[in-house]
Amino acid sequence: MSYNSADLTVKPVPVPVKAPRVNRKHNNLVAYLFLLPTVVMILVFNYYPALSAFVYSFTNWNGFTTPKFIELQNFAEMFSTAVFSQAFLNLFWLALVRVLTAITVPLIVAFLIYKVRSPRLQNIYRLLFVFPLVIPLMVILLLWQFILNPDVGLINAILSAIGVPESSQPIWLGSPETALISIMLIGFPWVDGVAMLIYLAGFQNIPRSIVEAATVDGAGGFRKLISIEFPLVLSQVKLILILTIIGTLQTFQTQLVLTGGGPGYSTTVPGLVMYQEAMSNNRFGFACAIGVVLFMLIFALTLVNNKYLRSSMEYGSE
Amino acid sequence: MTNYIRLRSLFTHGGILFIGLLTIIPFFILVNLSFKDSSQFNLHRWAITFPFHFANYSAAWQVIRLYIWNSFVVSGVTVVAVLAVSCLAAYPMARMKFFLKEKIYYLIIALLMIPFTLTLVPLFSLIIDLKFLDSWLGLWGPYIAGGQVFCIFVLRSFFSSLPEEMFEAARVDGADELRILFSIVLPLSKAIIATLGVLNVLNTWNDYIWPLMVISDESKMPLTLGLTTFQQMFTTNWGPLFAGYVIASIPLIVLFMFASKQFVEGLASGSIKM
Repeated sequence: MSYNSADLTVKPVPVPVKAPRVNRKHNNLVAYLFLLPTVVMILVFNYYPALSAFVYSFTNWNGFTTPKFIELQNFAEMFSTAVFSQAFLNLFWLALVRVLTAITVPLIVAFLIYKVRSPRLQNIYRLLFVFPLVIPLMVILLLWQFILNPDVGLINAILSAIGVPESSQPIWLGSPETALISIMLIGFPWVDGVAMLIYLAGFQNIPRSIVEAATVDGAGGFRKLISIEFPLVLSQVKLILILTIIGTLQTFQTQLVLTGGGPGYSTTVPGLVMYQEAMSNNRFGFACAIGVVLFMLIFALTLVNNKYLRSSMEYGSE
Repeated sequence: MTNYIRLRSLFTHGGILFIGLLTIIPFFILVNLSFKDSSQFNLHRWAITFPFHFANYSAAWQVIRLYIWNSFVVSGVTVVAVLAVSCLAAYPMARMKFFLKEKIYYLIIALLMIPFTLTLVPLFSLIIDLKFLDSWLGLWGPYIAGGQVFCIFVLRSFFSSLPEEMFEAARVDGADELRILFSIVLPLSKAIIATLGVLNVLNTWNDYIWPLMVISDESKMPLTLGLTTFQQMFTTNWGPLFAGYVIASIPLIVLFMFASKQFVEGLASGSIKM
């Protein structure tokens, strides 16, 4: 799972500042000078492209000639072509699997680590699962490309070892039936280090007194898990849920590197179609329209995220 | 009772180690294969074989060192610039009073809501117009502009939490704002700045899609792109190929070794929300 700036949604809190009013005008000037590089850069590299995306999304534009205004045709095309229904369907399945794995496996691992008594061991275990975060994503993808390789890869070697004849072994990324499943398999057993740390922090933030009170009242380990520990990390679960959906909506690097969306359109996703329309077909206007639709989806989810992020922060601060 | 506790702790440690093993296995396989020649690869692919072929590493290094160097320059310049620009911007946001302060802050922070999918294509066309294509400027510009937003958000709240007395004392002594920033604020913020720096390097070092669009000259490719070229060069020459993957992982592992405490604590404590 990758988090990108859009996930880091925040509710800005005005901070009261008590600066002595020595020389107001001079102060203004100094502050503006400090802010100048930032403001210039975000106007050029962020706001200008973001706003032009909306404008270009209503045009037929190849990136070089003058854009031609075509009203809503790009959007109409998007919602009427088969590639897009396929891409959104793939995206739905991918997001579903990513969500299910991201809210179960890291949660289980975090719970087990939370139960470890020795702080030293706890630290070592934590590092064990955080370590894969620093392996470049590209290396992980290429490594999985090998693991999934039908001729020399690990998975089919295991299948051979347990007696599956070579003729009935899947060719994974090479076949439209199994390609999407192969993409989902990447990263098995799907312990995302960041999600695990967030869950772990959630468990460790549970006030000791509550757990102790339950123990005194005679609650067993399982009872404590169901009635106290799990409900109290629910806000973290919601947070990971939203972050995972938003992350899945945006990324298409895996497909770009491993399948190019194929075979056929079996692994394509809207983000990848956007990339290909711009880079291979020079349809910049159409690509912008896809970007706008994805933005609106992500924006809606971000608003939901904001709500949950705030509730989990409030909990974390007690 | 003790039996029960022992059983439970066996379950806990056993569970962690089992999932941990599954997580780590691909990396063991990676390292193991990187030492094999082709006959070892074909005959004993999954076992550890002797002798180790270190020649794989020198073969891979010849090709991959250029890409590692390129990534060093791309990520290095980015992280230094991002941190410099962010500190400069976060300081007045946290500690000074000026006209339009809140407006400017919202202008910066609103960018956290804009995903790269929206800006990707128009940004590419802007890079073409600026003649930054096939130049690291085309990476640096968007990387620095995008990377600073999150840093400013975090640094502003950190700078605001510093005690006001220090600032008053410094101002009474006649220090100007730049001086306060450099001799008071920055030394107190080393830890948070380091954490932000690591996060920024992780992002730019791993980026693939943007360099793929901007850089096509092989001699300027960062590591992520170089790895695909590298893979096409070695295709089924597995030993050197995997040695290259290992080499490609080392710089971040080294960074992580120096900053792991920072990094894990920062993420776990919630001082940085991801």
